[in-house]
Amino acid sequence: MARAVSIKKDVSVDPLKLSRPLGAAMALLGVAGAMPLLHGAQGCASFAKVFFTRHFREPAPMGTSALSEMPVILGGEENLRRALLKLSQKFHPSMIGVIATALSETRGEDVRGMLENFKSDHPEFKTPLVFANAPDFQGSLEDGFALMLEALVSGLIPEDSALKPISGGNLLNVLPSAGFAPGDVDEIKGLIQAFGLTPIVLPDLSLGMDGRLSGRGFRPVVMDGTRLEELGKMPFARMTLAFGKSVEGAARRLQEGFGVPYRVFDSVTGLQATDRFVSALIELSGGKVPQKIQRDRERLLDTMLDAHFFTGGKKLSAALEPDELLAVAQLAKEAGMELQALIAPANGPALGAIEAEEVTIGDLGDLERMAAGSDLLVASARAARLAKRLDIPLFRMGMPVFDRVGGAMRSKVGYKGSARLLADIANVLLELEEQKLEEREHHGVSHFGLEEVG
Amino acid sequence: MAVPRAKELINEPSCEHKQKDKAACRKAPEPGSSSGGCAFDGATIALVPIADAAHLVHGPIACWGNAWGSRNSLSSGPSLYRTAFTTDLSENDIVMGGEEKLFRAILEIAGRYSPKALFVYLTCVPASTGEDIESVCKKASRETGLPVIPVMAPGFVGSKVLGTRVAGDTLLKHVIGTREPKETTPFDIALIGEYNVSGELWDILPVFTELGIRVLSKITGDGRFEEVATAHRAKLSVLICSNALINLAGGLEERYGIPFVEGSFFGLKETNGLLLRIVERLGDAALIEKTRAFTQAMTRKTLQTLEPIRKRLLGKRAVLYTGGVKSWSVISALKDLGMEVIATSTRKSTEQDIAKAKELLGDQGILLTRASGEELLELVRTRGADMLIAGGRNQYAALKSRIPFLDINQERMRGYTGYKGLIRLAKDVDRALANPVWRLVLEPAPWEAAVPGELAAEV
Repeated sequence: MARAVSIKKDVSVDPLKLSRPLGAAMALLGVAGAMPLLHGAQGCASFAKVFFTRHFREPAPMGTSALSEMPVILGGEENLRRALLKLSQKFHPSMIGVIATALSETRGEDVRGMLENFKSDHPEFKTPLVFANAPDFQGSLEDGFALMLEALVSGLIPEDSALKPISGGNLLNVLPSAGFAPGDVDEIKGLIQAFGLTPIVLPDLSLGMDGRLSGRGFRPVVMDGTRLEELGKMPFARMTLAFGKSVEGAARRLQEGFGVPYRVFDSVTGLQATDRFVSALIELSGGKVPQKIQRDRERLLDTMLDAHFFTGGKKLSAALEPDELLAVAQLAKEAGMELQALIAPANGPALGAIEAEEVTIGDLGDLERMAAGSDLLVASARAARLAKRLDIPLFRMGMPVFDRVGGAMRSKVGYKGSARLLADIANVLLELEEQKLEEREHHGVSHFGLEEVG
Repeated sequence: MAVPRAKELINEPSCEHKQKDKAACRKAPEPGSSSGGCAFDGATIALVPIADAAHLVHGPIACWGNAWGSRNSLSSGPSLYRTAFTTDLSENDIVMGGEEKLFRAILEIAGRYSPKALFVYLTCVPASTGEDIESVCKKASRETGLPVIPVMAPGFVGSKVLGTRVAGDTLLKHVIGTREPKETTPFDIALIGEYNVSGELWDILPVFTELGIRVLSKITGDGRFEEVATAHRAKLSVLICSNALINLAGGLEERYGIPFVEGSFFGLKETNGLLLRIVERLGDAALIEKTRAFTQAMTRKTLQTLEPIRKRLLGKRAVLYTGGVKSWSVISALKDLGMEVIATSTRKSTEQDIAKAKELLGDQGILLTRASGEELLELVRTRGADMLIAGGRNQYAALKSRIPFLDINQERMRGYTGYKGLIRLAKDVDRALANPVWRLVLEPAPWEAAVPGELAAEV
C-alpha cells in the first residue's frame, strides 16, 4: 500500500492543489436552490464562480461578503450580515452555505459566532444556514467538499428526526465525494435503483450541474439537486453508502446522530470494486442481480479482454485528488498497467489504499519531473502543456477540464462507466501503437542488434 | 498593513473628466452575489502576459491555485509566463511569517528558470499580517541580480480595475526607464492595454508595420520585459480599450513628456479613427497621407469581404453587456456589420465612454449600469433581441434560456479587433445566429406538441 511522500518546498510550480473553500462551494452545487457564500475578498468568489462555470459549463451561483480594506482591519461581521440579507432577499435561496476563507481565518474571526449573532438579531430570517470552516491553509478540494458535506448533514437535518427511528425499508443515503462527477453520480443512482432501492444522494451534482435547461424563470441559485425535504428523510435510511474515503466523516455523523449504519466504498471503478458494490446491493435488497447489470458486467470483461493488448505493461502517471487517484490506479492495475508517478495535491485517506510504493504530495511540476517515459498521463486540462512537452498523451480527468464538452456525461464508475473509461484509455494507447507502426515503416529494415526492442 | 497607494491611484490626475468614475472606483465592493474580480485578479491580467518573466504569487493556494492558466494571452516566443508559481502559504507559514519562504522561492525560480525578471504578487493574507514583500524583493534582487518587482495589489484593496491600475503604477515605478532600446525611430510607439487575447495583437501589428510605425513596447500582450522597460523612449503611447491603464499613459506623459492617444480597434470606424489620430500626433505629413490612403483602401476591402455576411446580419438586434471602452466600441463594430444594439452597459465606463455609447445607441437604446444574468435575458426577451453578446459569466444564463450568445470578453477563443478581427466577428455572429440549434431547441418534443388536427384526421 502506498506511502504518501511530501516534498518540502518553498514554491509550488503549476499547482495541482485547489483550495478547500472551492471544494466546500462545489458540494453546494448539488443542493437544490442553494447559494454558496464565500466569506472573503470579492476575488475569492469570483475565481470560484468562473472556475465552476467553465468546468461544468453550467451557471454556478456564488455569493461573496466582499471584504475590503476596512472590514479586513475591523472585522467582517457587518459585510457577512449584509451579504446574507441581500442574497436571501434577492434570490430566495433554499439555504445558504457560508464558507470561511484564509482571509477571515487569518484574522481569527469566529464566523460561527457571527452567524449565531446574526440569527438572534434577525429572527425574521428563515433561510437555513450552514457553515463550513475550511480555510485554504491545508488540504485540497476533496477535503473542503467533505467538510461541507459534514456541515450539511449536521446542520440541515432536523434534530427531532432522531426521535422516530424507523429503519429498514428501501431508503439508502448516498454520499459521493468530490471525485464523483455528475455522470458518476448518475451511474451510481442507476445501479441502486436497478435493485429496487431508493437512493437519497447528497450532494446530487447529476441534477445540479448536468445539462439542465431552464424555462423563463432563471434564478441564480443552484437549479436542481438534493432537496432539503429529502435531507429530512436521511435519518430513516437503512444505511449510508459513502463513496470515496474522504466523505467517511459525514457518514459517521449520520451514524452518531441518527444511528444509521454506514459502509465506505473506496471506489467503484474497475471490476473488483464494482463487484464489491454490487454484492452489497444484493445483500441490501435481498434480490437478484438484474439481467441488465449482468450484461454490463459481461461487457466490462469483454472490454478488458479487448483492451489488454494495448494496456498490458504500459506505464501510467497520474496527478489527481486522492479519491480519484485511487479509482484510476485500481482500474489501471486491473488492466495490467504499471503505475509510474502518482501525484496528489494533499494527503487524503485514499492514498494509503493505493497499490503502489508511494504517492507524491506535490504539484504538476512534480508530475512533469517524474512522469518522463510514461505511456500515458491522467490529469486535468492544466497538464495539457506539460504533456506536449513530454510528448506523452494526456487523458483528461479531475478538475478543471475547461477544454472539452460533454464532461458531465462521462462516467468512470460501475461496470458501464469502467468499461467506457478503459476503452477510452486503451484507444489512446492503441493510437500510440499505430504511430509506432508508422515510424517503423519510415525506418524500414532494422539491423540485428537486440538493444532497440521497446 | 502593506496596502499600496490605492487611494492615490483612484484619484488619477490623467482622468479629470472621469469624476463620476472615480467615485465608483472608490466605493467598496458590495457584499452579495459575486459580480467581479478583485485587485489581484486585475494586476495579474495586466502583467502576466510579460512572457519572459516569472510570475510568483505570494499567498495561500486559493489565489493562484484556483485561477492560473485560464487566460488566452498568447506569446510568440517564451512561455515562462504560463508556468504558475505560488508560495502556497500554510498556517504555519502565516504564523512564522512568509517572508523567508518568499525569499527562498524567488531564489529557486531565479536559479531553475532563468527569468528575465520576477514579478511578485502580494495577496490578502500576507498583506493583512503586514509582511514586507517590498524589502524581500529588494534583497532578492541584490542576491540574484535580476529585477524582482513587488506588485502591491492584494484583493481586498478593491476591484479588478484598481488592480490593473496598480499594475500600471508598478511598471512606471520599477520597470519603465530601466533599459534603453538598441535604436529608436521617429515613429516609435508604446501600445498600452492590449493583452493579445487569442492573438488579437497579431492582427494589429502588421497594420503598424505596413504603415512604417514601430511598436517599441507592447504593454503587455506578447510582451518582453526589456521591451516594456524601454517604453520611456516612445514618441507616443496608444492606450487601447482600457481606461484602467490611463495612469500609465498619464505617467509616461508626466515623467517623460510622451503624449498619448486613446482608442479602440473594434470596428472599421474606430480602427481608422485611431490610426489617423496616432499618425496625426506623430505629425509626419507623408505618414498621415499614407495612412489616409491605407485606411480608405482597407475599409473598401473589408466591406467587400463582409458584403455577403452583412446581408444576413442586417437589422439583427443584440444586447451588449461588457465594460469600459468596449461598451461603446463594440457597438461601433456591430453597426459596421449592419446590426443594431439595443442595450449596453456602463460598467467600468468613463463619462466619455457613456456619452459615446449614448450617441451610438440612439434614442431608443438602453444604458445598463449593472445587470444580472436574468435581467439581461429579460431584456433580450422583452425587446425582441436576437442575441446576447457578453462575457463568459453570462454565457450559460443565455444558453440555458436558449438564447444565442457570443463571448466578447477575455475568455474568448478568437480575436475581434482590427480589419481581420471584424471579419472574424462577423463570421462568428453569423455562425451563432444561423445555427439550426436555435430552431431545434425551441421546438417541443413530438409528444409535447399539441397537434389535435392531425390526430383527429387519423382517428
